[in-house]
Amino acid sequence: MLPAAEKHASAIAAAPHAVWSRCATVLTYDHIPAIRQEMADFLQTHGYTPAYTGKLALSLTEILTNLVKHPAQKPLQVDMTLEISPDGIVLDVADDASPFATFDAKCKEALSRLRCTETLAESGYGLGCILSQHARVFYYPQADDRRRNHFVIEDTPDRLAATWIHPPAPRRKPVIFLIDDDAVTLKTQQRMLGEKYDVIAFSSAMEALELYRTQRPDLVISDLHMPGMNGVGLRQALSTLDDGDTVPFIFLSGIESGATSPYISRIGIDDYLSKPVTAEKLNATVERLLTRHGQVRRAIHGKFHQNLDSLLKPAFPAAPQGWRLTTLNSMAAAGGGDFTLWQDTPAHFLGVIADVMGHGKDAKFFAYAYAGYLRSLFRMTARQETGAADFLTALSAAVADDDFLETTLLTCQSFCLFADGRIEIASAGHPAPVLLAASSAGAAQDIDSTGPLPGIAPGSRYRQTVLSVQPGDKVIFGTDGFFSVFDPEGYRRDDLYAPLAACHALSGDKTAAELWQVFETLRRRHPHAADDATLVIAEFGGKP
Amino acid sequence: MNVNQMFEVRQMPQYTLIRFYGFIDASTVSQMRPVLQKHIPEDSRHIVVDLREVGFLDSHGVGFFVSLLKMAHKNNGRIVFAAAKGQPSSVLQMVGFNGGLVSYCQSIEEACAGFEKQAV
Repeated sequence: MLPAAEKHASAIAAAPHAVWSRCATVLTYDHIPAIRQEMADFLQTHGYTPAYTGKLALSLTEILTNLVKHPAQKPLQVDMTLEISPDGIVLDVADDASPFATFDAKCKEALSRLRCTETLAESGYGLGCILSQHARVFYYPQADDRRRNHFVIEDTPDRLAATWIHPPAPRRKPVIFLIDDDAVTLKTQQRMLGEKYDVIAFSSAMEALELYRTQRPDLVISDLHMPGMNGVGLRQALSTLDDGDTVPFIFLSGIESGATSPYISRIGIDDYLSKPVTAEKLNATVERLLTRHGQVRRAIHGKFHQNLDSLLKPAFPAAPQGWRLTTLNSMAAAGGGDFTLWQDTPAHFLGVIADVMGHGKDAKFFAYAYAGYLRSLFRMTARQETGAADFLTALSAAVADDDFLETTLLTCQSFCLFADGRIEIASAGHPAPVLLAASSAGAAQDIDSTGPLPGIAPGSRYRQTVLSVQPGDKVIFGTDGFFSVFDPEGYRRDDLYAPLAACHALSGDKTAAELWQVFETLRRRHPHAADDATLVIAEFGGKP
Repeated sequence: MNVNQMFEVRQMPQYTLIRFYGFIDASTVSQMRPVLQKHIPEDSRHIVVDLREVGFLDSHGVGFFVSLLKMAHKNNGRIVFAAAKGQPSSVLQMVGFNGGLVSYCQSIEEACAGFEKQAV
C-alpha cells in the first residue's frame, strides 16, 4: 500500500485534468444526496481517500443546502464543476440566486456557532464546517458575465484539508463602474470598454454608490457634471467608504479646462480625459491605471508580509531548565502564521507553539494579532504555578469571549519543562508530538495530548499529559505545516518514524537537522505547499 | 427510504437508545424531526445515540442532535453519542461533540454501560 501522499500524487498524475460537472435546474433537499454521491464516486474513482471524499461531500452538501434554504431569490440553475489537476482540486458551485451580501460577516457568525456548544444552537453550523475543512474557501457574488455567484473551494495536493490562505484573485474581467447622465455617451463608452472589462453602467452617481456597498469595482470612470450628485461629489462620497479612497478614478468631461482646476486636482483622481475620447485612448488609460494600481498593491502587501515574518519568527531559548531546545522554521509567502511564546520561571519553563489559520483575510496579519494577544495573556496568566493545560484553558476562555479573535482559528501546543526531567504537554487542536527515547532503539511514539481548538467549547478545561524522561530522550513538536508533509491525510506518520528511527542516539540539534532535511525533500515534491512550518525538539540533558 | 427505516428507538430501563441508519442531512432530518419526538417518552432522561450505521452527517444533522441534547438537559438527563465512523465521526469532532461538553463513546457498549452502572 502506498503512503497517503504518494497514493494521492499518483492519482493526480494519472488523471491530470479530470473534470466532473453537473447542472441542476431543479434543486431541493431530496436531490442533494444523489449529487453528493455522484461527486464522491468521481473522487473515489480517481483514488481519493474516503476521508477526503467525505470532507468534500460535506462541503458540497452544505453549499447546496444553503442554496435551497436561504436566498430570497432561489436559484433557477446551479452548475457544479470539480476539476482535478496537478495543482490540486477546485470545486466551483455557480448559482443565479440572489447573492449573500456580507460573506465575511457570515464567516464570523458561522465560526462562533461552530464553537458555541454552551449555548447549543440548533442551526448555522454549515459554513463553519466548510471553512474549517479546506485549504482555500471563497465566495464571489455576481462574479461572472452572467452575474452568477461562485462558491469556490480549493485544496492543493499536499494539503487536502489544512489551513486557509488568502485566495488568489479569480480570473475574471476587471469590473468598471461607468457613470454618465447622457445615455448615448454611456452606451458608446460601454461598448468601447466591453471587450476587455466588465462594465456596469449607471445614469447617476447615487446608483453607483448604492452598488458600491455590495460590489467593489476595480476602477471608476465618471462624468464630471451631472444633475444631482456630480462627479466631484461621487469621488468625495467614495472616499468615506471602505477602500473607496484607493480605487482608481477617472473623470471624463466635455470641459477641457477641468483638468487644470486646482479644486479637481486636490480631491485625488488618477486621470482626467476630455470628451470625445477614442476607444484606443480610453482603453490605454484604463489599462495603465489598473496595471499601476496592481503593482502598488502587490508592493505594499510584499512589504507587509516581510515585516510580519520578522516579527513572528518562532524561537525559544536554547537551554532552559536543563533541557536543550532546537527550533527550525520556514515562513511561507502566504498562508498560516506560526509563532512561539515562552516564559522561564524558577519552577519551570513554559513554552507555547501556535499556528494561526486564516479564512479569506490575511493569515499573517491574524497571526500577528494573535501573537500580541497571547503575549498579553502570558503576562496576565503565566506565573510559576501555571501549567501547560492551565494556559490553554485561560486562552480558550479568552478567545470564546473575543469578537475579533473568534473569527480566526488557531491551534496551540503548550509544554512545561522541569529540571528533573518531567515534561507536561497540552494541546489545543495541535498535531500530536512524538517521543523518541534514547534507549528505545529507534521506536518513536505519538504522545496522546488531544484537546479542542481554543474557543470551541467555552468553559472547557484542557488536560495535560505528564512524562518523566531520561537524559537523551527527545520530544518532537511541530506545527501542521511541518507534520502534514509527512502525513498529508492525518492518519499515519510512517514517513516521519522511519527517519526518526535513525536518530535516537543523535543529539537534539543533529536530529533536528536530519529531520529538516527529510522535510525539505518531501516538501519539494509539493511545490504548492503554502504554510509556515516549525519544528521544535526538546532534549532532556542535551548539550549543544 | 421510509422515515421509519431511518431510525429505531428502544426504551431501556435506564435510558433511551436511538439508532440511526443511512444519512442524517437536511432531507432526512426534515422527515425525522416530527416523527422521532413521538417515539421518545417526554420524561426520557438519558439518551444513547447509536451512530454506527450512519454513513453521512451534515450540519442539519448536528442541529438535530443539539435538539436531542436540549431535550435530555431539560429532563436533567444526559445524552451520549456513540460509535460514529468515517465522515460522521469527523463532523462530530469538528463541532466539538467529542467528549468535552458533549459526551462521546467509541462503542455502544461503553455508552450504555455508563448509564447501567449509574443505576446500580
